[in-house]
Amino acid sequence: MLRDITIGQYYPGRSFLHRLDPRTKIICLFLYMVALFTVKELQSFGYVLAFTAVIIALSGVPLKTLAKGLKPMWLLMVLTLILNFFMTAEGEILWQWRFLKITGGGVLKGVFMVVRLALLLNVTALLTLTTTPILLTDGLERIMKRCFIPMAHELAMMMTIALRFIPTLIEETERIMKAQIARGADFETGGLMAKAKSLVPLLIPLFISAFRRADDLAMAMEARCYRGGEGRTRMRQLRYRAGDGWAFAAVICFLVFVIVDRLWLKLFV
Amino acid sequence: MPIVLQNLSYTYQPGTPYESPALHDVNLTIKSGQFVGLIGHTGSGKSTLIQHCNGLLFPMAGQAMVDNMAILPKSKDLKEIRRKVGLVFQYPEHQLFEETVALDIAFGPKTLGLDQGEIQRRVRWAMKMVDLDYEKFKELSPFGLSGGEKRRVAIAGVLAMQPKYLILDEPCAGLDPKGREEILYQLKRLNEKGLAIILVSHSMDDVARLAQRLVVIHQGHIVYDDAVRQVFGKAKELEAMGLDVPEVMKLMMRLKEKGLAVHQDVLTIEEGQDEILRVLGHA
Ligand SMILES: Nc1ncnc2c1ncn2[C@@H]1O[C@H](COP(=O)(O)OP(=O)(O)OP(=O)(O)O)[C@@H](O)[C@H]1O
Ligand SMILES: [Mg+2]
Repeated sequence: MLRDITIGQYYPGRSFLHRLDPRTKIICLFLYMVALFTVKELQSFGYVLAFTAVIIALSGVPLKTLAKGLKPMWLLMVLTLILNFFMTAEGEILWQWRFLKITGGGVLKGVFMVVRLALLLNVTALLTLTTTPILLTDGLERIMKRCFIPMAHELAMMMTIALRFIPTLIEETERIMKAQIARGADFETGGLMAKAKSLVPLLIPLFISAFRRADDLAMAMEARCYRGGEGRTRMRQLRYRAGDGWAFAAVICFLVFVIVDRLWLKLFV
Repeated sequence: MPIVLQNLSYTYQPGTPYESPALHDVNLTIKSGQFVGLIGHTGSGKSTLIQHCNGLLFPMAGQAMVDNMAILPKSKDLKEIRRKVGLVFQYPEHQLFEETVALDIAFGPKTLGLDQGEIQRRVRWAMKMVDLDYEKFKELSPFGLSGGEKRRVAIAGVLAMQPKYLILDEPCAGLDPKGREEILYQLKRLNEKGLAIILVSHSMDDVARLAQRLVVIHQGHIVYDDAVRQVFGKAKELEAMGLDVPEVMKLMMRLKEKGLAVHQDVLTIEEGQDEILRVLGHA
């Protein structure tokens, strides 16, 4: 049940994408997003889709896993689709009922938005699916330091800890839920009020345990002389390899291509 | 009318890279009134097994029944099954949530829809069973108690449902010797009153002293299911599974190695004492 949540989950593997430096992946994701938002025409999505398909293939993550990660987002996508259908008034009218009408332009725009959203979510999911949380925050820390963002280490450490404790908290939630169900608690039936009330026996122990864990962790870190980022060295240094060069080259070519295509369409078509 | 598990198998997170098979083709019957010990190495599947006994997990193959009611995901009988089979988890004190001890213990009976008088009666009874003084503890916050006291409150919370079978997952883990003794003594008393008990434990001495029957689980398979004395007779095999025999038994084996003609199948310190005295000719 709770374990179906795949946001931020890592999919173990040794694919090309898995072995890239996390910094490469973060920066490339950013460039990919810029490219995605540069595209303004539905027909240009052809090569964007092809490029994305190559990335997915290189990640070794099964489509089924990716699709499962999109599941919590389907409501958002349907909403986007419907809103665009009805809110855009362009082109010929396909269907009309009183003041509601669907136009050709609206359908195109709706589909365009949903495809863009799906691509965005999928590729972002690929980043967390192919990068362990530790490497991810390591990469983020280095990038933030480069950009002179203050407290880079502290921010990254907070993120590491938060990511690290998501599975622990899910496990804990499941455990406490089971313990209360064994005592007759019912989390499923009843109206909204009854359901909200039934959460009390779950949430109170959960909060208590989260605070206890935070306390223990702080104590353990202090016992090992943790003093923040100053003068801190790393056991495992991040290093760019040949693959990173290729990845950067491919994504930059892609971005340039997208920009040229956009200008071309604007100037000559 | 027993708890019956038939050809039961269970796998965690099937179809993902994290798939991990936990139980294979398990057959087990727990009759009412029995005291059964369940032992096995860490990760052998004990906690998984007991969660099948009251419908917290559902078998992926095979079936589970309690008093002729099948345990199925949407079954109408689930509530009744969970009332009949009380389950005390490892570190049950983590489930406490109410303002006072009495209210927390009353949580279970309340979900059964009993009237106030009956709930009060059960809270008093359950607290007596775990040796907590009602007048002294009823108004206290459970979060201010010591570890052992919290544990007893949590066990009382399950007892207050008045189950027919009581399953405990390492109820003594992390307690001091006195706390252990008290809990084990209460379990023995409850069993003598007719409650069936399944005790999951890593302490061979505890199960040797209390249980009549011992179930050994290894990598998801039940390998032994027999009288305690019979199972501990297989010291070598148990050792190979990362398990052990009671300390007295080890003493007897050492004595025998040194040439004293003692019987080895003793389970408790008293039996060991008698046996040594007998061999030395003092009895
Ligand atoms: N929620 C879960 N998700 C995935 N695998 C699990 C889960 N719970 C247990 N397992 C796996 O199932 C197997 C059996 O676990 P189980 O908790 O039943 O062991 P146990 O005998 O109770 O161990 P212990 O003595 O440490 O409590 C283990 O290999 C464990 O890794
Ligand atoms: Mg366990």
